[in-house]
Amino acid sequence: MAEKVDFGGVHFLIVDGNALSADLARDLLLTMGAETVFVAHSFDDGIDVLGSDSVDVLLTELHLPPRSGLELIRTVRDGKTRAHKQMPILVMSAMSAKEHVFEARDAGVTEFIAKPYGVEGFYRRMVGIVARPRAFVDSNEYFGPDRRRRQVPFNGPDRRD
Amino acid sequence: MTVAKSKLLPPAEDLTQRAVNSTTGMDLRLSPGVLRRLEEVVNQSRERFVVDLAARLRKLRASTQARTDGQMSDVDLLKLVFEESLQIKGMGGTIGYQVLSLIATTLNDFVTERQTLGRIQFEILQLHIDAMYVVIADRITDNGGILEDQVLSGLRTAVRKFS
Repeated sequence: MAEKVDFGGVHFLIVDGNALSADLARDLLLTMGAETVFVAHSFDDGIDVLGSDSVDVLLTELHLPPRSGLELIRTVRDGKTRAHKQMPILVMSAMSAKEHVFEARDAGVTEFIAKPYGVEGFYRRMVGIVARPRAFVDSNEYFGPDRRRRQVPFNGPDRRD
Repeated sequence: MTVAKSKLLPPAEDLTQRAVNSTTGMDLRLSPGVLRRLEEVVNQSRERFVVDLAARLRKLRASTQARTDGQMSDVDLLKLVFEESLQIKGMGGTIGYQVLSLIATTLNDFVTERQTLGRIQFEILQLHIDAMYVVIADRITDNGGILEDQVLSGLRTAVRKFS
C-alpha cells in the first residue's frame, strides 16, 4: 500500500516578519492537514514559542531584522531551545543568492525554498523533510543534516567514529 | 596535527514514525486534487497581497519624493528600498506576478550594500519603482509579454552599467 504523510499530529512553527507570507504558509499547511501551526513574526517571538510549546518542524525566513534566521537556526542546533536539536528546519526566504543558501546550509538548515515559491515545491519539501529524515553530522564545527546530497567516492582518511 | 572528530548520527525517525502511514493523510506525490486545493489557497490570498504590494509601492514613491525634497537621506532611502524590494520579490511571484518579483530582484541587487545615490542611480531606482507600479496597476501576471521583457532587460542593463 502506498505511503502517506499525516501532518495532523505534526506541530509547525512559522517565523516570518511578513504577516501575509506567514499566513499563506500557515494556510497551505492547514490545507495539507496540519492542525497545529504556530506563527511568530520576530526572532524573539519565535524563541518564545520554541521555549514554551512543542514544535516538530520550524519554517523560518532568513531576514528577521534586527536579528536573523541564521541565529534562530543556530540556536536550535545548539540545543538552546526545548525543541529537538535534529528537528527539520525549512528556510523560506527571498534572500536566495548562493551565499545566503550556503550560509543557511552551514548553519544546519534541512531544506531551503526561495521566495517566491510555488505550491508544488512547498508540498514536496514539507513531505520530504517529514517522510525522509536525513542523517546528522556532529562535529566541533558543525551540527546539522549531512550536507552530502550525492555519494562521491572518497579515498582519504576516515575521520568519523 | 590534530584531526577533528565528527560523528554521523542516524536520522531522527520519531517524527516520521508518527506521521508516515499507509491509511491517512497526503500521498507522498502531490495529487491533482490537493494541488487544486493548494492553488485555491493562493488564489484566496491574492487580493490581500496585491493591496499590500500597492501600499509598499506607494511608500517607496513617497520616500523617493522625500529624498528629492531633502527630507530623507540616501542611507535611509536605500535601507527602506532594500527592505521593501526584498518583500516585493518574495511576494510577487507567489501570487502569480513573476515579472514583479523579477523587477524587485534587480532593484534589490542594485541597492544591496550601496551607501550613496548619484543622479543616475537615483533615476534607475525610480524607474524600477515606476515599472513595478505599472505591473500592479495593469495587473500584469506571469512573466508579462514582450514589452515587459524589454523593460526588464533595459533595467538590468542600466543596473549593470551604473552599479
